Amino acid sequence: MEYPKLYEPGQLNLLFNKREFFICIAQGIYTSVVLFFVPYAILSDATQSTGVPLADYQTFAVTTATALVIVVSVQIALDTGFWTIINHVFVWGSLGTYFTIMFALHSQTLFRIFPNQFHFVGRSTLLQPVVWLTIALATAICIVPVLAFRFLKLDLKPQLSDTLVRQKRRKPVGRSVGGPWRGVGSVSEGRLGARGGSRRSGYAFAHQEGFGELITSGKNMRLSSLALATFASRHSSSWIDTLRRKNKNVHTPPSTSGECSPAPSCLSGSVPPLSNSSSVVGGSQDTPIEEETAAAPAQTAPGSSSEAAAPQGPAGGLNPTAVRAPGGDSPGGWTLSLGTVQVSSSWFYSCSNNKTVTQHTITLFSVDDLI
Amino acid sequence: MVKQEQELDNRPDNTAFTQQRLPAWQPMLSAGIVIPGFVLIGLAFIGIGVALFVTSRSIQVLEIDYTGVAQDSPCYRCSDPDTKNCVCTMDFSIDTLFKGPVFFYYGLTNYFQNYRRYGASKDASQLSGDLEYFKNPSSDCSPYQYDNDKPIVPCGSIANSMFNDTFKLYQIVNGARKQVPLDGKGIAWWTDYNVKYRNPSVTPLRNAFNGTVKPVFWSRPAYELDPTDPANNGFINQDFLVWMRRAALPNFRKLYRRITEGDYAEGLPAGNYSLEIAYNYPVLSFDGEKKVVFSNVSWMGGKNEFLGIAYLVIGSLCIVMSIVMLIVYAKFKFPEED
Repeated sequence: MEYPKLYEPGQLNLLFNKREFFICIAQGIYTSVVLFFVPYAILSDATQSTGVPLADYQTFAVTTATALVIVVSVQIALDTGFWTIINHVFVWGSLGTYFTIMFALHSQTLFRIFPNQFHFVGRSTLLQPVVWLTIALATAICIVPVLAFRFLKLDLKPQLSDTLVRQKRRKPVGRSVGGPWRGVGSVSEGRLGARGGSRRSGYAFAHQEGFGELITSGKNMRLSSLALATFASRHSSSWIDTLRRKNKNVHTPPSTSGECSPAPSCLSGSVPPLSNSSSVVGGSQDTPIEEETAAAPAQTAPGSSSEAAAPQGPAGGLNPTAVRAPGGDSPGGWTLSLGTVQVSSSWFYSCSNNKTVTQHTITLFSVDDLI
Repeated sequence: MVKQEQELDNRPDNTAFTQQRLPAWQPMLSAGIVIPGFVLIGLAFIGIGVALFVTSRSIQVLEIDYTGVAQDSPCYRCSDPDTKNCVCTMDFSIDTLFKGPVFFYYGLTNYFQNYRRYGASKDASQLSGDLEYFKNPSSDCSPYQYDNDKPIVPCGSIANSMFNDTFKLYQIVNGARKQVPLDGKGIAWWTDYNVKYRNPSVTPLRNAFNGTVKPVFWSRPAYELDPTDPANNGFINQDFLVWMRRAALPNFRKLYRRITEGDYAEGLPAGNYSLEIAYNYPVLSFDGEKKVVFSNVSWMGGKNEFLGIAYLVIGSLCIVMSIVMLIVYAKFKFPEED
């Protein structure tokens, strides 16, 4: 139960629905076509080095069957993400069993006893280099597209389980030990930047410390400690980076002084849930992202983490470039289109003389849809 | 207390296997493995493809169609199903030395030896020399099982439809015909000749065939298939074995002879040749064609352009894919470059 979000794909039927099924069927048809026509095309003209033609029924059948078994085994090996000794035994064992049974069925002894049932094939078929070249070619044609698709999918559209595996790899946690993933002070820009290559992550850790220490140390923010969670977007890391950068740089007074003094209590407008977009950060703008929880900023509101209610009241325009329409729809520049992510962050600023640094942190996100 | 023990009894064992703690290897499709892997595969395939293509290019093939469909073909008059024992002659010429050893094939098109009922129509016990089955051929062979209540040996459609055209090759030297020696030994699979097909151990062989008849289509019984070589008779006749090895595809070639001896050990020199054909096999009823193919071989067999080209194509596709993946990976690894 460490990562509850991992259960989502199952509940939402994301991994096996009609579309996935048809993709599977399509791959099956493609593989079948390749496995027949490649030996067909090659063996129709092929001969052994002794000149004897290879286009006979048994050679064709043995080539196709062997190619089939090998392609299927390789496909299974690709699908297996967790190789225990049992997996090894069954995958390599099935290959070995195929060859054993083939040699046994087509051996001389069985043929002598039951000549009408066991047609003696002899082993000469599998000794021909052309046969093995055919098998290798058919295997490559079947497997290379699968590999390419998988790799691209892993990079372009990673799933939660993939990102978890990758992150576990990066920080090796004891495999048998659960335990919350500790971001600890190290959850800083630096680390996010390092992880940023992966621009992925989409899970909420209610129990994670997150950016707490960074914030409490007041390096670039003056905030009370608030639980933070990672942000479900492709550019989360850079989003946070820009966030931090903006915070450092923004010293301009808020445009409307009137709004400068939002007491925590007044931050209780209601902000409609945002629609998410992956280009958040983009932020294109200088608009610092904001969303605030009116709830007393000073507190950590992790308790209510998982379901952030609709983020609440924008604090008027601390935002110099007032791109956002207060109250109205999503604050300017900040649309997240990844499903509906309701983000609530807390404002914290001290409004002295209208010269403040707006500081925001994100308290928590609940991610409804990761993909 | 007891209840607790009962509960404890039902617990699964605390072993690595039952608690899913087995040591495991968790491979991941990381870029560092996939992209170099693709490049390696691509390069290997391109290398093999080049070797195969170059080898295939150096192989010479000569095909001569002698069905006799066209009226001006020398074998046109033989294609009439009513003529028997027709002999026709096809002339051809070779421009450059046809390097030896030269292999002489006969080819058929539109001939489905892979048809299921046809392929099952034989008696393997009979063909392995079991005299029991000489008297009672297997019912798989029907309708070629009994002929006027006499058992047919060898029974079945495959044996019955054995190819019976014969060929003689002459080189025209100074206006005179010089026969090219054709070698018919060892053209069948070694396992067919030595294991799968055995003659009944009766000497002389013809006695084993008492009380049986030859297949309907044959002109000579099995024990007289080769008058010149007494060892090449019965079920281990090389031509018979070559025919019995069913082809998988409707357009196939089967080895007939080799040209390896005498003056032609180095190959067929350039010049004019004349092929004398004893045209016996009727193919026009099913729109089939007959042809003769001369070919030489290399380490990878005969001419096979598809193999070389396919390897080259797949190799280059792999390289292209790896470049694409590299671009995608690099682009998404560093989304915003400051």
